[in-house]
This record gives sequence, C-alpha cells and structure tokens, in this order.
Amino acid sequence: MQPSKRPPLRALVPGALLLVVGGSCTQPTMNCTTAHLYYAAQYELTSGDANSPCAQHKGDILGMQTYFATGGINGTAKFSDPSAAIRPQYAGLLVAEALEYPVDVPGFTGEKGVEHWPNAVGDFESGLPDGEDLCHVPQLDSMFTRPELPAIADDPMTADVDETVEATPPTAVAYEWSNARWLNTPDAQGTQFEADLKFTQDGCTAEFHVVAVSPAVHCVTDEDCTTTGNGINPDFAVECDNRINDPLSPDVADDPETPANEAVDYGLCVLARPIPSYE
Amino acid sequence: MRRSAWITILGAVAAQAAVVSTAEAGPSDAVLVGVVRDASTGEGIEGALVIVTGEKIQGERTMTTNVSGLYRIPNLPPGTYDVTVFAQDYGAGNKRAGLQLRAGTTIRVDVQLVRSGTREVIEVNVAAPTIDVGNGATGLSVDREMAQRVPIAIPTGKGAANRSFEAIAEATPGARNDTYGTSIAGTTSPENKYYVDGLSVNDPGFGLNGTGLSMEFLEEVRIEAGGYMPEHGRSTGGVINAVTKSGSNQFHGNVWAYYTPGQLEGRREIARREGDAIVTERNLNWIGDAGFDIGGRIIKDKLWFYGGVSIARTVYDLTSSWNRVSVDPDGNALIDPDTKFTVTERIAGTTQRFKAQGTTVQALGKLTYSPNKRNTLEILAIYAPSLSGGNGTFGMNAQTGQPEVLNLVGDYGALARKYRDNSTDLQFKWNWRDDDGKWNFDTILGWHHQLNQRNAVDGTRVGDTTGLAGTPSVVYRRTNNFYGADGGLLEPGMPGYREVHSLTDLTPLPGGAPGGACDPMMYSFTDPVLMDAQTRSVVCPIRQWTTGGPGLLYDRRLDRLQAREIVTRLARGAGHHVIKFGVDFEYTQYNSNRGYSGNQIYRESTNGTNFADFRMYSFLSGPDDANVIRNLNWNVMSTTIGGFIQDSWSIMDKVTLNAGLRYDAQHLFSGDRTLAMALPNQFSPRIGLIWDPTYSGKAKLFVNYARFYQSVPLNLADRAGTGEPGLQSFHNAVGPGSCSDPLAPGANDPGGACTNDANRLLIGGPADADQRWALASAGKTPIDPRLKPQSSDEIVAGGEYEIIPDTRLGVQYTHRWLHRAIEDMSRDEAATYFIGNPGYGIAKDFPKAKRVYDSAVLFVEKRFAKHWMITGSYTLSWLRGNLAGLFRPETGQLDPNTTSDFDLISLLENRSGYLPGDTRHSFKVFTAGEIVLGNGQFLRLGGALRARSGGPTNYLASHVLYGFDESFILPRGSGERLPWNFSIDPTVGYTKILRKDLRITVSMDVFNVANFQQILAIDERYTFDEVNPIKGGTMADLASATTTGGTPITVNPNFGNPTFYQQPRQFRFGIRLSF
Repeated sequence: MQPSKRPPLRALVPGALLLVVGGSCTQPTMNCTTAHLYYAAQYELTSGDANSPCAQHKGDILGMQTYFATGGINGTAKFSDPSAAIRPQYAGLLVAEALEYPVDVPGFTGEKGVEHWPNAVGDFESGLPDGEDLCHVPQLDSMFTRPELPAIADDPMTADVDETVEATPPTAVAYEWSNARWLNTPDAQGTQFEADLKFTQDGCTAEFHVVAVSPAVHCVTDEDCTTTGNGINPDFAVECDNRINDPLSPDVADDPETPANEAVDYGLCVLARPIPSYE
Repeated sequence: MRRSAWITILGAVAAQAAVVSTAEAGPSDAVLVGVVRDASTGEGIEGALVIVTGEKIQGERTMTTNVSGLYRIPNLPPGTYDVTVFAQDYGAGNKRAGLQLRAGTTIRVDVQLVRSGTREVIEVNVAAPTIDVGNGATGLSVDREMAQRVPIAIPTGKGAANRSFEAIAEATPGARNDTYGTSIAGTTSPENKYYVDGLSVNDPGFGLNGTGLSMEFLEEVRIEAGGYMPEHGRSTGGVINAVTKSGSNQFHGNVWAYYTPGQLEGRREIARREGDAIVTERNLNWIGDAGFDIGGRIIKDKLWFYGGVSIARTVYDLTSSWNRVSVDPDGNALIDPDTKFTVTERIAGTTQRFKAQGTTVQALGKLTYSPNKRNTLEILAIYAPSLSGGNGTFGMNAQTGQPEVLNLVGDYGALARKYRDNSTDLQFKWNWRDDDGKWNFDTILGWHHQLNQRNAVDGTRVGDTTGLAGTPSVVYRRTNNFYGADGGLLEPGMPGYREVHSLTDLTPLPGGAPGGACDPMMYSFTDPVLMDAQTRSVVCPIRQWTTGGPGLLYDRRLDRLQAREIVTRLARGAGHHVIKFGVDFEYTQYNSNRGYSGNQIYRESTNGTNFADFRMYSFLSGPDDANVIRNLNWNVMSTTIGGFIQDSWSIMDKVTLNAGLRYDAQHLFSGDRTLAMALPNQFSPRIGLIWDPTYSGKAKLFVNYARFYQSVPLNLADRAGTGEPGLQSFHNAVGPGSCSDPLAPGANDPGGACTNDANRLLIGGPADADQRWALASAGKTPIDPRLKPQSSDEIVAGGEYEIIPDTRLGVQYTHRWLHRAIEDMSRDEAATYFIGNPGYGIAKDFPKAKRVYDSAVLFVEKRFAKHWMITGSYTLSWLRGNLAGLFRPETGQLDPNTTSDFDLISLLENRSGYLPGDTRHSFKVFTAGEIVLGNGQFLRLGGALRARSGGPTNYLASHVLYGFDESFILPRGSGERLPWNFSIDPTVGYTKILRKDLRITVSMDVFNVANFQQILAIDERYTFDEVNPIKGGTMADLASATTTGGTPITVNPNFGNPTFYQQPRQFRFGIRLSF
C-alpha cells in the first residue's frame, strides 16, 4: 500500500473539475420588443411637395405593440416569432371621432374591426436583435377610408341651443412604414425607433424619415425632457421639438385681456440624434 | 522501533473505546490541538504519541508531536473523546477522558508528562477547554443536551410543531425570527444556507429551509453567523448546519411526545379593526409531536444504523362572527370616542367555526459502514411529507407556518386550499483518510427534492376544468362614495352615491341569526375625521369578499443535486497547516406549474360597474387577439460550480492565520432552455487572525474579514427570467346581458357574458393598437450586461476568555454591509423593467442598495456540566439601509432579487432609514440545571428569557400602480418605535432512572409565563390614498400633505393601532423515554 501516491492523484480531481467551469460570462440577449408606452415621433420630410397638406406633419404620438405567435412551450407564446403594430394618434383620432360620433355613421358603426383600422402590423425579421442591437420590421401598412360623418340636425326640444353639425366628407389615409427598426438593449427596450414613412391622405402623398422615443413626454423647453422621473432614460440625448403639436395637448394662446403672457408652446421630447441617441 | 514498546497498552485502550465512526466530515468537524510538555522543564516533547479515541470514530486517531511538542488532529466528528499521550522516557501515559468537542470548533488540550519509570496510565478527568482557538467565526452551537433541557423552540411560527432546527437558530446572539425563518446578523432568512450533515437543503426556488428536520434527530446544530471560512459559501446570511445522530455499537433510542393544548392558552389580546362585518378570532387548538428513534449496530465495529420517525400536528381554531353597525334610537351610528371606531354589535347565531390544520411526518434513516480504518461510507435518507387543509378545514402556509387566512371574508371554497408539501433528501458520503492522518478526502453526493402543491379543497388541481379548479375567483370590493365631484355631500339616489356591499348581498345570513338582522336601514353616520353627517343604509358593511374558486393553484417540483469533494491535507512548515481545498457543484431545477382557477381572478371595480381580469395568464398574438393560458408551466434550472482553498496556519503555536479564497459561478436558465442570467467570477476572499494570549487554549482574540456572495434562487429565473405574461380587460357589469356575475352559469365559458368582446369596455386611447386589452406583463426581464452578483462584506472582531472551567465570556463586534444587490427596476413607471445592480451599470441613476449592520455582542456560555448550564447574550445593534434583503418585511413579498424595493422611480424617495429588523437592544438567556434527588431521580429546572427593544415603524401610503403600503410618505423609520418585548419561558421536569440505560423524563415548558401581551406590530398604513413620498419630510409636513390628486389625505382610522400581539401564555407537556 502506497498511500502517499494515491492522495495526490485524487487531489487533482477538484482542480480538473474546476477547469471545466467555463460557462458564459455574458448576459442573455433580450427578445425583440417595442416599448409599452407611447412614442413621441419626429417627422422629417424627405420627399413630396412641402406645401401640400399631407406634408405638414411635423410629428405625432405613436402607439406600438408587440405580438407573439402562438405555439410556444406548454401553450405559451413563441417569443422567437414576434410582430409589431404601429398606430399613429392622427389616424386613431379619425377613427375615434367616428366611434364617438353622436349619431350612427353609415358604413362605420357596426362594422367589425373598425377600431383596428389604423393599426399597421408587420413581422419582425428575427426574434433577437442584430449585431447593432437593432430589431427590424421591413414593412408595416395600414390604410382605411373613414366614411362621411353625417350632418346632425338641430334638436327641436332644446330651443336655446343649436346642435346643428355639418357633414364631414369621407377621408382616406394610408401609412406605409418601411425599414422600421427599434433599439433593443436592457437599457433601451425598444424605446428608440426609426423608420421611413410614406403617408397618403386623400390622394396627397409625402415621405418622411421618422425618429421616435418612448415614452412620449410633453415639453416647453429642453429641460423638461431631462427632468428626473419623466420616464425617458436619463442617458438618452433628447431635446424639445416645439414644432410638433399634439391635438390632445394643444398650445395655449395669450389672453389679450390680461397683462401677463399666458402663451405656452407645447411640444414633444424627441431624440436629438439618430438612433442610438445617447448623451 | 520505539512505538512497539507500547503496543500492548494501545491495544487495550483501543479495544475499550473503539465504537463507531460517523465521519461527519466537512463543515461540522472539530479539531484537537495542543502541546505536550515536560512537567518539570515546561519544554515541548518531540515525538510524543497522541491517541484520540471516542464513540464517534472507529479505532483511534494518532499523531506525533513536532519539535515544539505540538500536535493537531483534525476531522473529528462532534462528540466525546479520550486523549491518551505517551512519550519515550516518560513511562506513564497520560489520559484525558471525557473531552467534549463541538461541531466545527478547534479545541486546545495541553498535556504535561512526568519523567518516570512506571508503566501505568494516569487518568485525568479535566473538562475540555471551551474556547475555539482555530476559528474566528461567530455564532452558536446548540447540542442535544441544550435543546432538550431548554425550551428554545417556541410553539408558533415556521417549524414550530416539530421543533425544527431552524427554529432553534433564533437562540444565536443577534438573530431574530422573521416571516420565513430566522434572520441572522441583520439579513433575511432566505439568505441563510441550510445544511443537514453537509447536504444543502435550501428550497431551490425561494432560498428558505426546505427540510425542517426535528431537533430530535440531531446531535447538534451549529449556527455560523459570520466570519466563516471559504468552505462555506453561496450565502450572505448565516450558515445553519444540522448534524444528525448516528448509531453506535450499543443500542440507544428515545420515545417522545410533546403536547401544547390550546385550552390552557393565556388570554389573547385581539387587534381591533375598523370597518368589517366579519370578525375572525384565531386560537390555538393544539400543537404537538410524537416520535421515536433508535440507533445501534448491524455488524459490530463495521456497520451501524440510526433511524426514527416523528409526526407533528398543528390545529388552530378560526371562529368568525357577523357584526352590525350599532345605531341609536335617533338613527345615528355610534362612534367609540376613544378609538374613533364605529361601534358594532355581534349578531347572535352567526358564529361559524373552522379549523386550520396541518400534519407533518418525518422519517430518517442512516447507515454508516466502516470496512476498515481508512474508509467510512454513509447513506442518509429523509422523507418528510406534509398535508394540510381540505375537508372543511383551512391549510397552513408552509413558508410561514401560520394558517393561510387571517379573516374569513369569503366563501370556504375560495379562501381555503389543500396543501401538500413533501421533502425528500438522499445523501451518500465517503470519507477516506490515509494511515498517518495527513490526507483526508470527503466525497458527498446529495439530492434534495421538494414537492409543493396548492390544490382546491375539493381535490381538483391546477389545470383542471371542473370543480373549484375550474371556477374563477371573484373579488367584490365596492367602496363608499358620499361626495360629488364638487366635494358636496351626496344623498341616496343621487348620481355617484355609492355604498360598500352589504354582507347579505354576497352570502346568505346564517340560519341561526334573527331574520333581517342585516337588512338595510337609513341611518346617519358622522365621519370622525371630516365631521360630515353621511346618510348610509348598509348595517353589515363588507369591504372585500372573495367567492368562487380558490385563485392561484400550483404544483411545484424542486430538485437540488450536489456533488462535493473536499480534500484536507495536514502539512508542516513554519508551524502547522490544515489545508483544505475542494470543489462544489450544484444543479437546481424548479418545475413550476401554476394557474388560476377558472383561468382567472375577476376583481370588481371600486365603483362596482365592471370586473377586471385581475389575474390571468395570457398573451396577445395580434391586435385584441388574446390567448388565455390555463396553466403556465415552466421548468427552469441553475448550475453552480465553485471551489475553494483555505489554510489554517498555526504559527509557532501562538497565532492562527486563516486565509482562503472561494470561487463560485452560477448560471440560471429560463423555461425555454436559454441562459437567463450569468453570475460568474464570484471571488470571495476570507482572512482571519486568531491569537491565544494564554497559549493554553483558554482565551483568544480574533479579527476576520470576509466577502460573501448570494446564490440566486430560481424564482427569479421562473418569474422574471422566463415571464408570467398577463393581460387585463374590463367587463361591463351594468345592464342586461352584462357580466354582472362572473359565477353565473355559462358566464365564464367561451362566448359567455364575461368572456365575450361585446361586454369588454373599450379602454384604448386613439394611439392604442389594442382597444380592449391592456398588457399587465409580457416576457422576460432583460438583464444589465454589466450585472454583478449580490454580495456582502463583513468584518468581525472579538475576544473570548475561559473565566472558570466550562465557562467562557466573550465580546464580538460585527460590521456587515451590502456590497452589490441584484434587483429589478423600471425607469418608465412599470412599463418596462430590467434587472441590474441599483446604483451601478445601466442603473447608475438609481440609488445604491444599502444595508449596514453593526452589532456588539457580550456573551457568556457555560456548557452542561456539574448539573447546570447557561448561555446568555446581550446584543446592541443597528440596521440601516434601503433594502431588507430577499423578501420585503413590510408586505411579506417573497421574490428574491426582484422585490418591489427599487421598482419605480416615483417610489425611491424616503427609502433609506432604519430597516424592519433594526433592534437596538436584545437580551437572551437560556439556562438549565438539575437537582439530584437521589435514588436515580433528578428534578430539572431551566428556562429562556428574552427581552428586545422595539423596531421602527413607518408612514405608508398607496401608490397608483403598486397599491397599498408601497409609498413611504416620510423617511423610513420615521414612525414611533414599537415598545419593548419581554418573554419568560420557564421549564420544569423530572427524570427517573428506571434501570441501567433506561430513563424517563416528564417536563412542562411554559412559554410567556407572565402572559405579556406586548404589541409586536402596528398598522403602518397612514392612508389608503395615493400619496407620493415627501422628500426628507417630518411629522409637521403630514398636515399639509396631499394626495397625488391634490386633495387632502384621509387618514386611515386604524393607523398606529396594534395589529399583532405577543403570543399568549402556552404550556407544553413532554414525556421522553430514553435507553
């Protein structure tokens, strides 16, 4: 028995086991997703008549959502197979106006799926971001024609109020998004977005380059965009674009009756640089 | 050879003492050191032979002294030993008998030999020194003797019924009970590492103790609170190691029974509450355990066995009754002028009695085989099934040891569940050592398995479509509204006027009650805060009522596979070295199948006009295209591989330097088999210095620095790392064909009133792609690429001195601080989350996670000898920071590393301050003694005394997204401190030796003998309103504070009122037969 020889051999086992520790030192890549809150988008005209009505958009609030195919593990979603929806507030308001119209709108009320008309949906190229942390959707389209909003007659029961509303003619809009891409890192979970947009309304077409950041924050000055707790990642390079007007948060005009200047020019916080836009 | 001269003597000694080997290798081993000196010159004797024998080792262990007369014998299982020393020319041997060695300690025994020609062994009976001179670890060892003689484990809380070892850990200086176990050194209980014989038994999912083994099966529990060596890791709390008993050549066993009757309970203070028509009292019915164990030989000197069975049962009475608002003859509701509570009266004939009960069986078996001196093999198996709830009873929460409900505000089928919680452990150990004791190898292979099921009381399970598991849970919670938008008082019938539900709207009046006892009647209620006279009609108001199915059901299976190899090498070189190194591999797996009964929980809106899909596993595959997941089943796993090397270097027999390094790497994997989180490069340095100024094992001064890394429980890989997708829609509950009752036949079926799109409210704004559904949670939570593992640093220093034999006095100082924490965070107010280190990496704009613990401990310990023992400590401590640990004590949220502490930027203010575990002063005294009555009779006396100053309290408000108690209006700990808390737990017993090796003991433990009913918790919810934290605010700011809506705050009428009192007096009777 030579015990002195056996222990060292066995003593090597722990060392050998430690050598195979290996394993990854990097964290997992996140799945492709859009952000869950609204985006503030800046529209930059790239093609079309700058004086045409459809070229007047300076920006918009965009709603986005990520969907996943069915058929994942144990009845769950297939995270490797996502798609995205983009819904501009401008288009959404056209539909909302008809939805909330005081009287039935022929060709609209009762139609199935009218509330989804403004959604542009497209599939992601992959479930995971590319080497530049970008997730791509090549094409997302939506087009619809909102029917005429009928005229409303005066209510004879209320003599002192005139309820008369003129008819609003039908309008057709089309959004064709191409080369849409989102920054997808733990630090920017789809919160920076860039795409090309071909917008058509009632025969007028304009093309824009769109850059957006989530969440949408209203601002008057650049400082409003870096306030702690406003939801925007503090490392992002952002600035206030007062040219964009959100109809749900309209500018306030000066009241000529008072000496003070009440005018407030509301804008939206937008990315100061192309994505990735960091300080 | 000089050794041959003594062969005959050695043989005789060995034959006498050789009994058994258990080879408790690894963390629980003791070390014996000392110097053999010439009695006349005082110089060390080189080449003296030291022989150690004892019931716990086979044969003997021998070692020769070095040039300075020093010897060192490691790897001794805890137990009683004899040491015999021989040296050439010193003729006589010198024997020290009855040395007690405790787990994990290094004890010094010096021997003086006299030169003489006699050949007789001189036997000296001197108590072993008690100072552990090889170790700078702080903590406590509780042996069988102390656990049986002192009533340490109180009959309440987790592990109470079977007096489990984790309950015993509370006796450690500075330790305290928390919701899920024992908190050590300011940490939370899931941060502890729990071992049974070196087998890790932590719940792989949540970090709690997974095998609450009864103290009856244990030889000793060793609690390492801090300063521990690199062989222990993966814990930022304490290390709690239970050492099981082993068999020997003689047959030994016990039969025991303990019983705590509820009838003898002291008067219970009832926490009074404003508001509800249902009041539930909870009283102990009985708690008890019984069992037996036996150990002995199968083949003498070769094969031994030990085994036992214990059964424990807990029964609580839950008695609920209906109460109505007291209205005077003038039609005014009565208000108690002192408490400002609405006065209520109990309605006769409405009392309903339920039981909450649970039963746990533990069976343990152990085989020890020692074919020769070099090898010892051991197999340990533990099976511990637990059942509770069902058949008209409520269940016990296995994580807290408490009944699952507080107040019976709902139907039985909705509030009660049937639980099955099993744990199984299997371990194989092999110890090999060479002949001269220089090499020692320990191989440990282990498997810990848990099954945790939460089923409906009718036996249906998660995923079932029939019975209660197929029925949705419905929560009614309509609120009062007596004020219009303009602030004016509303009268009944006016738009917006609304009252809470009357109990009889939701459940029938019990048959024994007078008819119409809850019928509405108009009365006037003067609001004690606003002093408005409101017109009300509901006399049996109920704020929340749950009906239908039981909600969340689950079937969890958890496994922990471990392989460990530890090598110990004794070496010499500028002193003695005990070098240990090893590898440690763990694979954990958590298969979690969960689902909501009937797919979801419906929750009524506070205005009563709709029901929300409050909880429903689901996801969207297209705009408003929802897919419901009946049961969400993920299987997540983790691998941890680590290694350590440490040297305990005894320099010139005066100073011991402990130095070492531990490395661990943990990788967690998601339910889709991909990496969820990587936590490599956990380098934990540990260094300590111990100096024995007496050079004789009677004193030590020590200082120790350590870094500890936390192992991340799998709950993170399951919930955040894989995802719990959920959606919400809102179902109109008003009008014909609406979802007014989700439990109506067909309402929850496909196309029913509560599942069709027609009744779903359009909640989307103009820019929302989904108009009917809102996302509650989606997939995985991304991880900061620069994430670092969670870790703590610690410095401990102290001294001990053996003032009289068997008794040591010590002081210790501990400074422990959180280095990095892992938490989830959101900077866009809960829209997206990520996991990172608060204050670092991409979370650098979040405050750093802080938890700083400082404590000074003064303690005295006299082990049981000469018929008495005492262990006492006084701890002065501070605990400050903004993160309590792996669970949130304020809400009980147990989501290790993903609590809500850092979630929202709007909640981050005021979070730093005194943490809930902050206890300034704590006294603990445990003592026991026996009076010899003669004729083989003993009277046993003893007891436990605890005194503790009260903890901090807070001013909490609701948060718009996170709900109640998540907003600290004032800085943490701004509230009035809770009062001191005392408890005196005496015990008295009688032992009679019936015949040789057979004794009977009867005992009575009295817990809280004075029946102190001190307040342990108060309602810290300052308001139900949504209020943002007032940065650095003081009490003066409260008056002017407003809700997030800008309106004045309505103070919670219960704020500051006691919610929890000390356990009343309880008696525990015990009987034990030992042979």
